[in-house]
Amino acid sequence: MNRSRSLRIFTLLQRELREHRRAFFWAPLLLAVLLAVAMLLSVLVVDRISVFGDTLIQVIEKQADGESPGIIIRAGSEDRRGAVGIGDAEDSIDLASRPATQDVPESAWDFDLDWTFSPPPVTDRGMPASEATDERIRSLNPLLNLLHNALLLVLMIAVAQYLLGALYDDRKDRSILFWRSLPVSEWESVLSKLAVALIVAPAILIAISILLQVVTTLLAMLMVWRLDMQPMAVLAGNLAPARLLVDQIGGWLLSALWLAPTCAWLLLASAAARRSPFLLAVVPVIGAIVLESIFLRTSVVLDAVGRHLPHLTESDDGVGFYLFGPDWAAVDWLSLLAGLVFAALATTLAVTLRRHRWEI
Amino acid sequence: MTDIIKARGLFRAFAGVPAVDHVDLDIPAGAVVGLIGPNGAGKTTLLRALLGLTPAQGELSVLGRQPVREHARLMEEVSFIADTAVLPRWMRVDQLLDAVNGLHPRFDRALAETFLAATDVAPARRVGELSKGMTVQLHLALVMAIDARLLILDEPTLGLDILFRRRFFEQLLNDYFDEQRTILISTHQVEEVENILTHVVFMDHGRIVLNRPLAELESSFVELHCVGDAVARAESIPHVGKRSILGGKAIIYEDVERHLLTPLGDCRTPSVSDLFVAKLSREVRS
Repeated sequence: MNRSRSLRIFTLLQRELREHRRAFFWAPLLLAVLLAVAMLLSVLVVDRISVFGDTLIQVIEKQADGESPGIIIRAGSEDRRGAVGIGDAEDSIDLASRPATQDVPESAWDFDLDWTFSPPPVTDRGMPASEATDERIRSLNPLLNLLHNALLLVLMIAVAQYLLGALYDDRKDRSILFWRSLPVSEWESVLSKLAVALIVAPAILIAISILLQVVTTLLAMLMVWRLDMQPMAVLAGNLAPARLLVDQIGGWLLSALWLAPTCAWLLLASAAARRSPFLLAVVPVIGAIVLESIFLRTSVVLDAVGRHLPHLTESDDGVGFYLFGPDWAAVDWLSLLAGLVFAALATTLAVTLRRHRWEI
Repeated sequence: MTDIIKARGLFRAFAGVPAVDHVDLDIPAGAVVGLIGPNGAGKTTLLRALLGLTPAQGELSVLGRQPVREHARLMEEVSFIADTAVLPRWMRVDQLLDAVNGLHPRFDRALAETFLAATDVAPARRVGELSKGMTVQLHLALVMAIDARLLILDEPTLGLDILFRRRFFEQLLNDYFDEQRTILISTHQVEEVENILTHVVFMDHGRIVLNRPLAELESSFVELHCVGDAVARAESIPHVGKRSILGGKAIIYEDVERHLLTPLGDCRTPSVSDLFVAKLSREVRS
């Protein structure tokens, strides 16, 4: 009984992943490989043309002049605040420099794809420090940010697309008539789809991301080695893998709770739609927001929706789609709870619709 | 024999038009029942109600369960092919076997593979690439490898050529059917199933027109073939239906003593299809 139960759950999840293996596995993996190749090229041509290299050579020159004793490899600069953001390069620059061998407080170091190699401030060449740095950092950060966020974006698009089709496609191609001939309750089948969206697909993405981060670390070591420094010494002080894992996995679980109502809503639209699940998911929400702002001059719906959507931009009080460490203190527990209640209701309704009104 | 399907006053309407109109139905265990009716007679709606796929008013019990409420439980003992070509097209055949194997406790994978080995359906093929006939063979192989007590087939051979249709029903009878199982087949092609049935149920306009064991048809219905003067006399006796044959008429009677008719011509038991046509055309008239 126990074995057959775990086999059932495994089979349900396997079915979903097999159907959507391109979106959930191959697309992020391909992106990760592209990202890794891009970084590898940067490292290989570090002393020639790349902007990546330019920045580093600056650092080396400074070091040769005896101005700076080391290089700072600061990773995950934005994630300190909990959200994954695009832009804000200026905010994330760490201008402090320390000797590589010096101990760094563990909490000061995060690590993800976003590497910032910060040269020390240029003060003795008549050039304002910030300007000089900005120019170089901008040349590096946006590239990595773009690729990194693309990985997240791929997941979000894939998950939204998946959920909108999850309870619609099989009704459209009538394969629901086959699936319903198996002894699987609609609860099991709907919850398995929700679990894929909230847990399994992000877990795959995180696994790919961690792999990419390991590759990035190795590439960084290679680069440091090419600059005639001690890779182990530089990285040992700069990396806290345990903390990194806790942040990433914890952040992803919290994100799952936050996004549950949005996902359940998409599933409900998918179960209810006769023509377009997308329109059914979007139009009523926009309608409610517009009507509310016209007649009540409030924005309760908008705020509620905003809180449970993945944010790509960082904000101080908002809770984003964390993949790299949440700000636990800033969590609005009431909103979280309300969202979960909504998710439960929407899921129940989706199950009911699927039982009684599945024909298109 | 115990009834494994019991329905009383089953009713389901779509947009005010009844598709299943107060149907009473008892199906005994071990029967092979043909649910026969023209297109739009309500066969599919009735079968879906029995399977718990669509809600219906009235009393209904299948294997002692309420189909809509206990759908998942019911599906452990009931298999069905609700339509042709409903297998998920994106799956490979072996993935499909994995899925059924993981989700159905009474599925025998080795048996399904044995059935499939006798066909052209290779495990690595994608369902969407299979021909219609092969898809039906695949579905039948899956269903026959499930140890179910009731099998419901809704127009299972629709759109197949005669060779596939023959093989389908032969295989069903030889490799699957035994005393423990009950099979309910809906079709509007009567000749296909005529020789494998133990019971016939005629359905028209949402109502059950006839529900008899095949053995009883012999005692209840007589088909008289008469020519010449006998035709006028034969036609004066109340009959179910008639049709023209070479040089005369074939007339079908219900509950008329056979010996009263023998002087008028040749008496025989009508075929299910002729009976069906006679019954249904009378329904249309009345």
